[in-house]
Amino acid sequence: MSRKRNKRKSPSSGAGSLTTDALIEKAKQSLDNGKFKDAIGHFKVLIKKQPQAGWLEWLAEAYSGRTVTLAEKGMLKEAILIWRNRAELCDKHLAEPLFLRLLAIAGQTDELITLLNKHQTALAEQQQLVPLHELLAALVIAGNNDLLTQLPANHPVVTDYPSAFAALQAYCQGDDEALQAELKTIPFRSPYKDLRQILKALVCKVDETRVTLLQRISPDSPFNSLAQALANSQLADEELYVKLNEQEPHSQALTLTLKGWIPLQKFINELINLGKAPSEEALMRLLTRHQAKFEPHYLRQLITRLLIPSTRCQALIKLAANKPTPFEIAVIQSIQSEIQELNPRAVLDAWGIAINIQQENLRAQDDVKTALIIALMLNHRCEYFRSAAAPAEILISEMSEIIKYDPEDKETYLQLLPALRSEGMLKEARQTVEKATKYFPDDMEILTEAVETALASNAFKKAAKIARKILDRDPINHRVRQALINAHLAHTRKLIKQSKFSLAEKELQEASSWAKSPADQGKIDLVSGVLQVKQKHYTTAQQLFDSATTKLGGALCGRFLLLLELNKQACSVSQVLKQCHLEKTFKNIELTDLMALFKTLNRLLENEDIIKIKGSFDLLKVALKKGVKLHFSFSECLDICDTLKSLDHHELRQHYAKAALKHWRNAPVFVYHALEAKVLSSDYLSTAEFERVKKALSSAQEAGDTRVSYNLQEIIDRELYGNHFFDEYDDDDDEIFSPFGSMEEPEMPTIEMIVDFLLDKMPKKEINELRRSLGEKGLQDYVRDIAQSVFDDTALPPIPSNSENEKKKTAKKTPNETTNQGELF
Amino acid sequence: MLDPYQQLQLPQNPTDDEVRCAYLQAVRKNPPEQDAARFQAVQQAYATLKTQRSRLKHQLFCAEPVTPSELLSHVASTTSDKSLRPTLKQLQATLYHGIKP
Repeated sequence: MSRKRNKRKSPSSGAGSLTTDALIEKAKQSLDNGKFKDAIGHFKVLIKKQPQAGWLEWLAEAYSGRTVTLAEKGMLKEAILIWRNRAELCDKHLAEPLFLRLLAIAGQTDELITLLNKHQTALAEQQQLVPLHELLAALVIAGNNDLLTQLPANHPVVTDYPSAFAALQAYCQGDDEALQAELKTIPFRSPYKDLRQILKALVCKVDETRVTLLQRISPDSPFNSLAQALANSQLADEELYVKLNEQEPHSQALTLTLKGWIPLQKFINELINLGKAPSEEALMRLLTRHQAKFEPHYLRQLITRLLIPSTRCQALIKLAANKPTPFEIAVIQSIQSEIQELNPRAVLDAWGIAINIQQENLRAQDDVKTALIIALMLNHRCEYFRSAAAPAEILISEMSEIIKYDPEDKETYLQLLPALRSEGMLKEARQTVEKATKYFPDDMEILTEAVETALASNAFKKAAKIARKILDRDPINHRVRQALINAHLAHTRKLIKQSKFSLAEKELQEASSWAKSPADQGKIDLVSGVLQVKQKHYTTAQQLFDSATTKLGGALCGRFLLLLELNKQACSVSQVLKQCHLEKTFKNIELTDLMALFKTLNRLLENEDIIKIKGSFDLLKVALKKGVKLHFSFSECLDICDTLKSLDHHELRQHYAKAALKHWRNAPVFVYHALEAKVLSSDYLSTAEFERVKKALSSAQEAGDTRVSYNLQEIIDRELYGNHFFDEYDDDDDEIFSPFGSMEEPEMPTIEMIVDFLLDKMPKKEINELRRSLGEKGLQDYVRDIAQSVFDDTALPPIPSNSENEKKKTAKKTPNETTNQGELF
Repeated sequence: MLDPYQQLQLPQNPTDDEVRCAYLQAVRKNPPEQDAARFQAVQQAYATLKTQRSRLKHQLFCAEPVTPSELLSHVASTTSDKSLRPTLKQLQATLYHGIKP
């Protein structure tokens, strides 16, 4: 078959038709862009037309560029020829350093020696003689011995050669003594000085010294390739892999030799050929080819890890040296479902398959390891659900399963017990405490949980007994000390309720004996105050309340804790305030006082009954509205908004967030707080507000604030589609996910439930549009009509409208919308 | 990521005691003042293999991408031929091919 050569047109062809100015422009452009061959052609035409000194200089520059380009490509003969043309056509000096170096490397030593002898003085003046001698030294060491006979006998390249070569030989033979002896004979200014440093570095055992020695070698040194190979051999594997990819084959081989990796050269070469970021498929093929180099268990793990990120898992399995087991495949698919951020239900199902396989194995053979594997998978799945903010009942069910398979999993007990208590599952909590203390009878954390559980179950004496046991061993255990004081205070309240005032007094004394901080004493003073109120000792009560306020961190915080205490003891707030001559409102609020209150609230929210907290907090609403005018820092205002969110106090949250937006305009986090608070206060967002959320989302994303981005996205999703855990799945078999009713008691939906369900499930965008056109009441009526028509099995009602135009629109839209709404059931 | 079993030179199914022994040996071999990075890697390997629970966890959930440098390190750590010096010819060839004009 004939081969067509793609002949490139000569750069100067057609140049004759160009004007001189155009040709000059073109030639200069080629020169600037490094197209030296083209530039040479253009300048030649120009000079032919009209010789000018300036153009001759440019032509010389183009020749220089072309020479360097060819030399870099290893086309030394061609480079030398171009340089000769430069000297001849442009009237330039031939024996410049570049030319001499080219002659040396190309082995044209006769001409080189002649020119060197002739221009020695000029080269020395240009300080080019030493680099040239170093180049000759490197060439001689590399095996070009002809030079030694051509250079004068007293030339340093000749005189120092025996020592330098002997040193190199000694190193290669492992004779370090001879090496050191030879190195000492190489003069300080020898052209072999870089080789001396490299040989020293090669046998040096101290990392820092080796680095210093190698740093003395200039990148332009002709010995640099040796230095670089040695430097690379010292790198960490990750960096070394990158460098090996960049190295020339000889240098690469030297690095591998220095690492002692020559037996692995085949594997390493194959690995390097895969590039810096090889595909999973390429790595899998490599692993299969070299499977003998890996231990079986590690090979299995590598295969699994290659399969996890792969999009072509099945195809890749076919290439694998060891085919994964069904269990391994199930684990891979589960991890993939997590990475791909599938719906939590899909992740649950994927792990369910893996767990089932091991459960089958466990049924076949009771084995501790298998049980532990199941527990670990359940634990992992539980962690995933925790991060996906799954409902507490799912987490509790998962954790309960974990301790069935792994009853020695302390961490799970420590997470399960607070969860059970906060869900009011006290019977289960007590059973779990019993199980946990069986395995960890002396563990402080487990015992602390036992105290908390006993407290939650109103078993105050039991709580105090366990707490004392802990404090005997660990007197500085703050959490248990608190729990013990709380146990005594809770018991005191119980006694006050039963009007057993003297016993209550004794209990308070017991609590006081454990109180160490003013805050603890303040709490006790509050309960004592209530006890005094009950006994109608109002003056003493007032003194105790005043003293408590000081100890509890300020007027606002003290008042809140008093309100909470009165709430706990079912006292009338207004009556007690009046009896004790305490002011109902606050004239001024200090910033420190307000922040102390929110700090206390955050602490209480972790342990106390949120309903009681909310009830007491509501009584401070008026005072807190005044606080909006204070000068907060960004983080202070953020803390306040976060706490108000936890308290579901969206009205105040909106107030504070709006105030913050006046200071920090369009700060995404405050846009989120202000507008989510608005939505949660049963209001809807206007189009402008919706746009503001979108804008805030992009700002948060730009700033890399993932948490705020996620929260803002939630608002958008909720507005557009609604957003509920497991919404996309409707598994009738699993009652946990049923939109109606509880797990135990399935119930028939009522009209009101269907209305709520429809409002929740219908596309939010449509709901909002309907709300805008009909108003809240109109919307409710309309949805109720739909629900009723489903109940009565009659035609769905048309969408009511106020204007004629809207009526027309509705008439057009109704058939489709009717179908859609019908599909919701 | 390096294979922690390889790092501590452990067989596939070690006991907790075997892991601890291997860890102490590795720490003695690689004290932090000599090679901080290696010491840290040993510590990390020990944390991964310390108990049966942690070993199973590693086996089940390790999903770190496989990198060429990991394979390189692993295979390299299996070879014991560390004392080889290059030949004169190899050094000369590297030098010759590395000389640039």
